[in-house]
Amino acid sequence: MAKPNRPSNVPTQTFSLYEINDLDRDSPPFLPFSVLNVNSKQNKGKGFLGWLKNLRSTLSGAHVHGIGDLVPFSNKLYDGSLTLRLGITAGLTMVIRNYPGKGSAQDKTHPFFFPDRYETMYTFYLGDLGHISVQGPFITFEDTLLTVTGGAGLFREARGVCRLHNLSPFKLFYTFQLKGIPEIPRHLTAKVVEPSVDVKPIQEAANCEPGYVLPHYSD
Amino acid sequence: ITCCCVHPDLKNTHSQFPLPPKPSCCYPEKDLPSEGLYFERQRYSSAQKLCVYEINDLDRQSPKLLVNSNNTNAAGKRVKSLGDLLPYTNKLYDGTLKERLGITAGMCIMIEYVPEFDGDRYECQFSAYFGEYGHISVQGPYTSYCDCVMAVTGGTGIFTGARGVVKCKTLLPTKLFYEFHLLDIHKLPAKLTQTPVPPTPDVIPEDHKSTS
Repeated sequence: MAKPNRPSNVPTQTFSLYEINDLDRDSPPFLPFSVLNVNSKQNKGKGFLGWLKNLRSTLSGAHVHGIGDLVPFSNKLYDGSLTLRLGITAGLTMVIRNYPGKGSAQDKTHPFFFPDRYETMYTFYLGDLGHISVQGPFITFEDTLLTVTGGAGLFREARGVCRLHNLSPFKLFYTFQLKGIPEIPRHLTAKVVEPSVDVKPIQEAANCEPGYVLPHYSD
Repeated sequence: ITCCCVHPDLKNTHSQFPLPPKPSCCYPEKDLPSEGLYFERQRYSSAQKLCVYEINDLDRQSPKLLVNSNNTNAAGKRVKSLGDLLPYTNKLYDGTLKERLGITAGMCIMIEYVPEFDGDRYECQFSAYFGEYGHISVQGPYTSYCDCVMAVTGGTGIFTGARGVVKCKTLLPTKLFYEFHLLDIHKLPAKLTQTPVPPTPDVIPEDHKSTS
C-alpha cells in the first residue's frame, strides 16, 4: 500500500507587489473578437455592410463584452512599498463572461471599469531575480486567487498562489504565497503601503532612477 | 481509461526537417516506456484521483471560434488550421453527476486537423473552477479524436501547490470526462472523490433530468 502523497512541509514565504498601468505602453489593447468574426451566427447573411456596421459599434465601445474578446496587456511592476521598480507584467486575459450591474459604486465611477470575468495567463518579470508565471481568474469587481504555475531564476521551484486585489482598472495589488523558493531578498519584503485607489510609486522609482530599480529591471 | 492515441508526431512525415541529433545521455529508444506506464510509477500510485464531467449546454456563448486563417479544403470549404483560437467556458459537474461544481474557462489554440482520425489537435490552457474549493489550472494537448493527457500546472484553495496530470476523455463534442491525478495536496473532501458514473456518451447530469 503506497504511502499517501501529501504536500511537503516547507515554509511558505509571502510578499506583495503593485502593478500599475501608466497608459504609456499601448496597453491594454482590447481585441473585440466576440463580435468581429464575420462567420459568427449573428453576422450570417448580413454581408459586408452588416459587418461594417458591426465594426463601427464595436470600435465605439458600444458592444457588450462577451467570450472571444482578448486583452493582451503589459504593465509596470513595483514592490509592495512602492519604492522600487521591479519590472513588468506581460500576458493575456480573455473575457469569459460579462456580469452587468456588478461592481461597487466606487468601481463604477471609473470610465474604464467593466464588470467582467476573465481567464488570465501572464508572467511577472522581476529583472535579474527571474520571473513568475501565473494562471487563473481575474474578476474586475472581486478579489481572486491565481495559481503560480512556475517561475525562473529565484522562483525556479516556485509553487503556490497569488491573491489579486483590484484597486482600479489600472492599479492592482498582489500578494504571493510561495513554497519552494530560497529566502526572498529583503528589498521585496519592505513595509507594504496600504492598498488604496490613490497609491502611486515614489517619483524616483517612477522615473527609474538608479537606486530605485532592480538591477536590469524588465521594461 | 486507457490512453489509446497514436501520436501523429511519431510518423516522421517531414523529411525536409530532420530531427536534431540525440545527445548521448538519452535513453535508447527501445527502453522508453509507453506513455501509459508513466502512471504506474511510484509517485503517481499515491496520487489522489478526482473525476469530473465537463458539459456544454450551449448557453454560455461557448465555444467561440476566432478564425485567423484562410485555408480551404479541396471542396472549397473553410477548414480550421493553425492560428484559429477557441476560447470556451463550460459547466463542471462532479463525477457522480449529482452536483454542479462550477465552470471550466480557457482557450484552445488550433494546431492541426488530423485527416487519419478526422479530428483536430489543439493546445489548451484552461482552469477548472470548483467554487469555494478553489481552482485547478491545466495546460496541454487536446485531441478531439482520442483520449489525451494534460499537465496540471497549479491550483488554489484546497488544490494549492497541486501538480500532476489529467486524463481527458471526449464522449461527445459537448461532453468530456476528466480524471485528475493530483500530487502534493491535502486529502480531498469525500464529496469530490466518490465513485464516478461510468463515462458514456449518454450520461446526463441530475439537474438536466428534471427539466425533460
